[in-house]
Amino acid sequence: MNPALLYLYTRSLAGSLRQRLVRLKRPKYLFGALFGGLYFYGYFYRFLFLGQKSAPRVPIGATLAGESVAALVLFAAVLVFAWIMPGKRTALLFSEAEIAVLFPAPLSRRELIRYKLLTSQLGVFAFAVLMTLITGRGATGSGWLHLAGWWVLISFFSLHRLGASFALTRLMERGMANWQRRLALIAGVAALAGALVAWRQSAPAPPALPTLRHADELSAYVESVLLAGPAPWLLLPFRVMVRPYFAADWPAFARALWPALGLLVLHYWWVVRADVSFEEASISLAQKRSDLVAARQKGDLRVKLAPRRAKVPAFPLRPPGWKAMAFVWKALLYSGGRGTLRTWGIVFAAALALGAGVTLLRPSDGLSLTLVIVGSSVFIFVLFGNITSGASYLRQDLVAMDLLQTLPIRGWQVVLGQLFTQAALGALVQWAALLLTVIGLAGLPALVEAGGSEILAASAALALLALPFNLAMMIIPAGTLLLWPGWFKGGPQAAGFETAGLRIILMLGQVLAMGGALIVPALAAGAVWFAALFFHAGFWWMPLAGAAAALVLAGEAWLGILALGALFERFDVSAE
Amino acid sequence: MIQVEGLTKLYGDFRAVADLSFAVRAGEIMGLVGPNGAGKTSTLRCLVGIIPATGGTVRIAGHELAREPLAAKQELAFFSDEPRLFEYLTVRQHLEFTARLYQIADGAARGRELLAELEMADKADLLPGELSRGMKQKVALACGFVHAPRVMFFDEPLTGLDPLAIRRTKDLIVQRARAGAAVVISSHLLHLLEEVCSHVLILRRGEKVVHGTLDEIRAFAGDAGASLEEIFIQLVGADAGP
Repeated sequence: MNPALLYLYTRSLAGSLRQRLVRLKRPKYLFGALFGGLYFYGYFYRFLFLGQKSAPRVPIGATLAGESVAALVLFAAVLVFAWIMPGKRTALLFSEAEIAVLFPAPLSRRELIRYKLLTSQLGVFAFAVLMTLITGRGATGSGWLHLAGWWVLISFFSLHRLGASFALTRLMERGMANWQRRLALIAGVAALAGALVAWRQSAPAPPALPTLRHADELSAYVESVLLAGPAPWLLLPFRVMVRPYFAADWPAFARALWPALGLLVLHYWWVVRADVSFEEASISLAQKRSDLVAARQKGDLRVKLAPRRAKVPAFPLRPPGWKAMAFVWKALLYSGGRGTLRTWGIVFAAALALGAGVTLLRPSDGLSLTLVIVGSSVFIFVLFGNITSGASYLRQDLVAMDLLQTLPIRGWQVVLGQLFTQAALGALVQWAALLLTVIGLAGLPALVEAGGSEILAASAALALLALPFNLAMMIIPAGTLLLWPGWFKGGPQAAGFETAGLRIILMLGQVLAMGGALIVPALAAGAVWFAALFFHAGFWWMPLAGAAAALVLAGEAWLGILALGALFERFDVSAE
Repeated sequence: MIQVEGLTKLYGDFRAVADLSFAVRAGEIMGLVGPNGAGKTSTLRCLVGIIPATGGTVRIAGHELAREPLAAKQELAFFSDEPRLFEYLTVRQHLEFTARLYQIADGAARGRELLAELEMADKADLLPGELSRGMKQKVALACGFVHAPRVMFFDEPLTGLDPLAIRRTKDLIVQRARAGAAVVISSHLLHLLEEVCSHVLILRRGEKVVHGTLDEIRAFAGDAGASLEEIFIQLVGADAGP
């Protein structure tokens, strides 16, 4: 390892740690760190690493011919992700600073690869911790063994993937034509098919279906299949790599580790000896990553950034008229414009027509139940989606806050235009989902007989509540954003216990506020219910109670919008 | 000091730089100009070894970049348009790192001198996040100068700087050239180039339109009294954006 690169790595690591510690001087980060630390300790660490030390180690999957199946899964993952669907060209993930400084510096490609392998170890370790936390809850025994096993597996996979991409890039650089690649692929597929035929012929016949219900017999059958024909040879290196993960204790782990380490060293040698041009693809990757981080900081939550295309507005915006409508127009454009609205309209109309047609003409419990599940799932998904999107949409406006604050428009109009559009779009989808659910419920005769009218009344109440509920609930995260914008920062600095703890505190606070906001509407709905009981109004109390709660919620939303507007006008970008 | 022969860069079927040849001698400052998309960035990146050229040869201080990349890179410094610094290294650590990278024995002392020269001595223990853009630019300059490069490449060196910093950067570039460095500056600021450059190369669609001293270029354009801006518009006007 080049000493300068080692210096860069160790100093950057120390600097990052120091920065984290320094920011703990600010109370919000200190509370966040304490809360996050306690949360992780309580939820994961104590359970994984301290709780069941004495229990014999049984990792997840150990019961189902574990080692063989895991080797098969690893083989399939390597085949698919490293060889069949690799990236376009070899790209190592460098930061823009690393590219600007290290690429023109007197460093060989091999030194840069070694440096990247070293720096990637932090990511490999973090991923191994994550996998341990995810899979460890279903396992027993030492968590450290889980962690070490995952580290071996992930290191192997990432090294193999890198080596394969180097090999493929080299083939491309040497001018391997497309037809040659295809020929090689066809030959590979033919060889695999041949191996499968040989395997099928030598594999034992599958047992009868009922016996497969017993885990032991299924496990024995899978094991025997994976030990037949060419499978043992094909899976041998992958068995070597998964064996440490399945070790029952540390001595067994140590015995399994040596051959796995040998394979890792071979892979390392394969990767560092590759003299392949990775620079252009790495520059492009760094640019994409930098754009993605910048987009995240603005509140754009897309997983992959693609250039946005111009959209046709949902309606023409003419100069005279209510100013807030400009923000409705803008928010609709952001949501996809006329094209997206039309597409979704067609999708829902088609779903409703199809559901209604099939339910009326050929009723079937299965289909009706599917409609109910789909409809109610969409309803609930939009309910929660809308709450979180409120802050996200507003965050995009914070980027242009200095411009917005110069506009001759009141803050509440900006907030109303922005949030109302999202709430209304959500409500439209919720109404369609509700209709789909009702159609599905109508196809269940037993349910209709038991209380068809009540279902209709409850659905009407929900439909009345959807829009004001969306709006009122969106205001809370949006308000949190305007009050404490620094807590919403994205990018590389938004990592660690302290920020995770901050987010949990923030989430709990918002849930409490939302609960508080629902008290008065719930009281209003309760009053209607009591009145209905008194006057024997039957099931019609439900839409009436819904309307009462909706009115109160709308009032709260209006007050919230006025308050947010005032915050918007007073917002000081330089303060955060 | 810089010798470029037949430099070509292809991105798939797209030809970003086509058969470009020129030389920059010690003490010369060459301005690289062209409209957006003319191939300036690709040319610079090939010249400093950030990306490999598709064809042609680049010699830096006598070392062929493709054959002796480390020896060639030891002699050069590249200053990108944005000062790209490592987030968690202090100013001093940036200099120490650079000195180690280029194996400069008296790197620490030289770093201190440079920081003093750039009026950054009191900022040595700050992280990039605590610096203004101009200060970051100074750190990038100090890192670039610490190994006393004989060849320097600047990509839009004055972007985002205040008038004082612009003046200081221009002086530093001229000073280094006078001390014997060969300098290439890529910029859209034609008045800057006219002020500091001894030579200019105009690129258009990846191809060299003209290369020479300002007087030679004026003669080429047939207007002895024209400014570089007027010549640029005359030669590549159709490609230049609004």
